[in-house]
Amino acid sequence: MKKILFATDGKHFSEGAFEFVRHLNSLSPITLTGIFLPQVDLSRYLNYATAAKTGIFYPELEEEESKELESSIDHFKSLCTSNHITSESHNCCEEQAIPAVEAESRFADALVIGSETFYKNDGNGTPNAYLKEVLHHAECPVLLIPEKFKFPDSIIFCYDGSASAVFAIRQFAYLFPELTDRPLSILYLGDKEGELVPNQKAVMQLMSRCFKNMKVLSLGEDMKHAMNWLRDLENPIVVAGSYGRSSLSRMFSKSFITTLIREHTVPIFIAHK
Amino acid sequence: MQKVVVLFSGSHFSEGAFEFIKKMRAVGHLQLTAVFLPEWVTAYAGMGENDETVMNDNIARFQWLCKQYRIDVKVCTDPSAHVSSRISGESRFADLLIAGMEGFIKNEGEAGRFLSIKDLLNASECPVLLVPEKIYIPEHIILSYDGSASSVFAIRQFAALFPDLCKKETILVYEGKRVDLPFKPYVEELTSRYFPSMSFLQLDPEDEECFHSWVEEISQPMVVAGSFGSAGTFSLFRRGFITDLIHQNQLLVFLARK
Repeated sequence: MKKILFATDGKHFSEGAFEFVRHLNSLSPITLTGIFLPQVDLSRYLNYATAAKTGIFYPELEEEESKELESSIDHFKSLCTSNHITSESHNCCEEQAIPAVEAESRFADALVIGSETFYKNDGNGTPNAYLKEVLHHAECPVLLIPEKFKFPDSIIFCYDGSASAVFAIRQFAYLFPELTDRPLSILYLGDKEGELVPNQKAVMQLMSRCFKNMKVLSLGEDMKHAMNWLRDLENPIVVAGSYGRSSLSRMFSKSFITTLIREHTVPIFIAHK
Repeated sequence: MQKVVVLFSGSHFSEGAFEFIKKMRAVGHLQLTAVFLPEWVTAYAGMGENDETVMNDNIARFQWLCKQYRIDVKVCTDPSAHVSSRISGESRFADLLIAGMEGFIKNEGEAGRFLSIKDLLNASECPVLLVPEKIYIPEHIILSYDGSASSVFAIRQFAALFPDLCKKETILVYEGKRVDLPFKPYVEELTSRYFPSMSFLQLDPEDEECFHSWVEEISQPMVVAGSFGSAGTFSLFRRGFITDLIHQNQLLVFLARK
């Protein structure tokens, strides 16, 4: 049974992310752990050295925030019960958000986050700093789910030839064998359309062991074209390698994923070594 | 179906590696790639005529054996490519890399000769399974755990690749002299999901002999470990220890690096 983490900052419960989890559970039963993170994370403002010297003071939650948190946890429990999902919840509000996610994700199979709602109040661009940090530190694959989406009917694998991209699709196939009957598009974003895909034969051979219906597409650096192509697809999920890590080999792939996260149109699966 | 790369080092033909592949093939389909490496891998001095003849004989024998057992295989023999890039290039597109341990460790002391296990792990982009010459079906799984991301990653990858072996009796060993089981509730929960028959064993890292004798008592064990030698990995599973363990006990060892 897979262990899935459902992370929320306590104030902004993502109905979209929960809907995704509900679908996963209907395909194959999961164990769901809700992690409820602090609304203001002081670790962003204090570095570890300072924290170690001084000891971080965590302000007690205001009464209103406390109520919001309790209500969020109750909502989570009630949704799990009504959808027959085995669950537990961890209130991490007295811890730093990022280390809490790091520790929890080490022992989980995947982390699901509502990409529109996670630390919505941060207001510092999309993806915001919290989301970037989580993507950087999570030790299991991360699923970013928009609020409005359809459960995936097809899979787009963003392939740039890197070890990280191949690692991501391997982890996706191990984790969600129930989804490998969907058509797979291997999308290569090169300098120009039709450019030779690196190690195309090898990647297709690897994919063929679990995906029966697949094709390869090589698009150029025209972001608009790539986005339009994606919009024409029926309910896709995008699989990508490292995001926010230096090993990402092509900047264009990175900006493509950033645009997808910002537009909140499709679920995205990100895994990095 | 899994995609597997099998690695042969120099003139050494690993019977154990082929036997293990045969057993994997018996339970399911395989996509197999065999990579034959020249003997002088570090200095890359090129192969002598005799080495080349032995390697060619090994390739022919391997292909013949695969045909006998109806195993489809692609053989890579390109001696011009750099060894690490050949390993990383092939393992990037594979689920598992299998190597006969004798070809890698028996002459590790010889300067520059043969690829070391550390080099092999660094180059591989998928988990590595080191197999002894005398192959056996694992009856016990030993999970070496130190709380690190790497040791947990190895456990998760093992469970994804060998779900049937997870049903065997499993023992999680950890250093217990100075610290309690790291992340106790988490690791208990993680292992309970994959390993139905699970126990925990606390070991004194300064008493390697004790561990060696304990392992000898375990029938047909398979060791699962994260990358050894990395910072933060505690002394029990340091590089030398795992190498010694492999060398002395001739065990199956599954290694995965995060």
